[in-house]
This record gives sequence, structure tokens and C-alpha cells, in this order.
Amino acid sequence: MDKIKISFILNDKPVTVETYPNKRVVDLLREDCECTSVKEGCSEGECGACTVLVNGTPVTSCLMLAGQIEGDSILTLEGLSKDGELDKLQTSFVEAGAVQCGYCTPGMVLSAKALLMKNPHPTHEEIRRALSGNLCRCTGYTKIFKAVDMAAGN
Amino acid sequence: MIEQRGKGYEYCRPGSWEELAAILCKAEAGVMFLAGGTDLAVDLRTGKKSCAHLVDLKGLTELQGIAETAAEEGKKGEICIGSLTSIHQLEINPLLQEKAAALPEAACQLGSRQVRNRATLGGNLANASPTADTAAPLLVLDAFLELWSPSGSRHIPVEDLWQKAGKTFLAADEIIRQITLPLAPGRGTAFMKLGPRQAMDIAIINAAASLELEDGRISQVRIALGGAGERPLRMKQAEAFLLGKEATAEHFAQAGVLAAQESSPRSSRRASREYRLATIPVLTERVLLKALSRLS
Repeated sequence: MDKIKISFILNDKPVTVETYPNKRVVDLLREDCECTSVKEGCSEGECGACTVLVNGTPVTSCLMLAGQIEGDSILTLEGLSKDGELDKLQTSFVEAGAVQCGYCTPGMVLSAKALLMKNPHPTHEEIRRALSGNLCRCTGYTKIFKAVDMAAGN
Repeated sequence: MIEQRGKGYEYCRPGSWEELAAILCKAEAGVMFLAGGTDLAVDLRTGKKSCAHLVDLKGLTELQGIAETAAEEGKKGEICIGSLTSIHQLEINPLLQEKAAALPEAACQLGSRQVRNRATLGGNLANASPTADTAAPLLVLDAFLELWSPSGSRHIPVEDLWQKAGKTFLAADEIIRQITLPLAPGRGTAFMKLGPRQAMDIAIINAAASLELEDGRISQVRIALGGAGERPLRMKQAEAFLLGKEATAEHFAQAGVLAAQESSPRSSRRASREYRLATIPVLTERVLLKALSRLS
């Protein structure tokens, strides 16, 4: 199998990576791009831990092959904070105590970010739906929903 | 990192039909098409499926989109859906919500939000799962498919796509290009799904129905089930029973019993054959009632 060259935008910066076409995006981001906030959970698109935003849309990066992101814009948790300052949504997660073991958190934050980018003042139901593809096995969802509510100014 | 157990393959993403045709004519065997990849990416990694050439169709941008052709004299209106349209696009499309409600209703129950953003209608059909959520709606909507291969294109009713679980009648170099739904203005359609969880699960059984009434009697009816056989199936005996009858809960229940009789579900990890046979009448009755409620 030959390596292929893939160019895409990662957290607002253009990157080009030479890799194998059967490499999954989750592995590409973790191993070649140092984006270790992207977590692998179930490996089959059920748990949402590996969620990243592709052109502003949440997708599970364990289900994507490297070649599929050619030309796309990818946002991971690393791209949320600016100059060492946490994004408002991240601060809300901290303040609401919405993090326990932390493994689901990057995916949760990114799914919530995608929602808030499209809909700055979502209802509680809209928040629940937006996070329905992200599983948390520690603590339940009350504080996570509260964090998103806080960031939305609800 | 989870080990890549699947064998290697050459990857390409043609940007035009000419390029795609050239690739297919050159590749001797082992071609697989990549749409959203939400099923195939896992199967290629685990080694459940393997190929020599993976042809990513995403570069063919014209495969995405939903458009209506208005009715003209002597010709019904129709909705055309490009095969690489995402499940999420089906879910939120006002045209489909108004005129083919069963399809967006099924779309919003498929997988997770993240999966729906990637998964495509054509991919869901070509993957040929007996419980593919978009299959039953397309069967009751009388959908037909435009298939394309380097040797030309052809049209088939969606019913003729599937052979058995995981297997279609598509030729090795053939793809689904477009899904067309003929419009029927006086029609009520609905979809329902039975699974162990409310969200994010593969159906044990799913069902779709479409109904039209004339003078209080059923003048057109379609019932389709997923999980009732080795491919998504129309329940033609149940349909024939209902035709010309009044649309009552009692008749719908009787149709449900007939649907179970013409089903041959298998036992799987998800549910036993007996459980499926017991739930088919209930789900059939409910989906017919729901389609009826959409009529007025």
C-alpha cells in the first residue's frame, strides 16, 4: 500500500500529512498531529469520545479514513482555547463540575460547541439531543447539561 | 491505537465520472466504494470486509442534494435525492418532511448525530442490512434508483436492490447514483422502529406504511418491514387484505397478523425469531395508525 498526501485545515492552520489511506482520522490526529484530546472509546461510532468537528459538524473520527478529510477543516479541543485562555464553554465545564474521569469530555465539549455555533441559545431539549451521541459512564449528564446551559447564558 | 487488522488497499477519490470510469476499467477486481464510511470503515479495519481498491465517491459533489421536480401534465411530481446525501440532510429537509414524512422520520432515528452527519442514503441502501432504517420508508414511497456503471445507467425499483443480508444485485462496478420518490399528494406515510433502546440502536424490527383513502376506504396502501426476512420486504398479502376496506384499528390489526405470516425473520444476537414474529403484528398495526393520523 502506498502512502498518500493529505492536506487539510487543523484548528485554523493548514497542514499536510503523508500517511496510509487506511489510517483512521482518530489515529492520524493523535499520532501525526499531536491532538491527543481526541479519545478512542468504542472504535465503532457508538460512544462519541473521538468526536471532532469537520467543517463545523460533529463526526466520530474513528469512522473516518484519512483520505476522507482532504480539503476539510477540522476542529479538535486543542483549537478551542486561544493563547492559553479556555473557551467559554470549557470554563463552564470546569465551573459546573461537569468532568469526572474526563475521557468523554473532549467529545462532549465539541458536540456542544457545534450546537452553540449554530444555535447560541438552545433549549434544554436541544442540548440533550445535541449530546445524545456522546456517552458518559461516570457521572450522568446533569452537570454536563448544566455546563452547556451556562455557556449558552440560560 | 487499535491494530489495523484489515489488509491494505489503494485509495482514490475521483473528481469526475470520466475519472471514475477510467479507474473502474483499469481495476481488475476487488473494488469497493466508500460513501460515508460509517459501516465500511469499521468492517475494513476488523477484516470483516477487504478490498484491493477503495474508491471514495465524495469527490463527485453532484451526488449530494435533494430537489423537487414539479408535476406536469401527464407526469407526477417527484423528489430526487443524490445518493451521497447525508442522513442528517434527510432528517432536516422540509420538502421530505412535508411530502414523504416516513423518510425523515427514519433518518432521525438512525445511529447517533455524529453518524448521521457522515452516513449517506446510498450507503445505507448498498450496505444491504435487513434492518437498514431508510429501506422500509423507500419501499412504501415506491422509490426507484438510478444506477450507474461505466457501461451505462439503468433504473430499478428499490425493491429489486437487495438479494440477502449484506448482498445487493449491484454489479461490481455499479453504484447508486440517485434515489427518486414519485409524489402522491393525498398520501400519509409513517415509520416506526423497535429496538432495545430509545436512541442509537439497530432495530430489531422497523416498519413503514403509506396510506391513501377514497370515500373513507383504503385506495392505496404500502407496508414494509425490516428485520422480517433476509432483506427489507413489502408485506403484499397484508396490503391486498386492506385494499378497499375501511381504515379501522381492527383491520390494521388483522393486517398485522397477515404480515407476521408472510415474514420469515431469523434469530440473531439482537432478538429471536419468535420475538420478532410476536412484535411484527403490533408494530404493523401501530405504523398504519400513525400513517392514518397523517392523512387529515
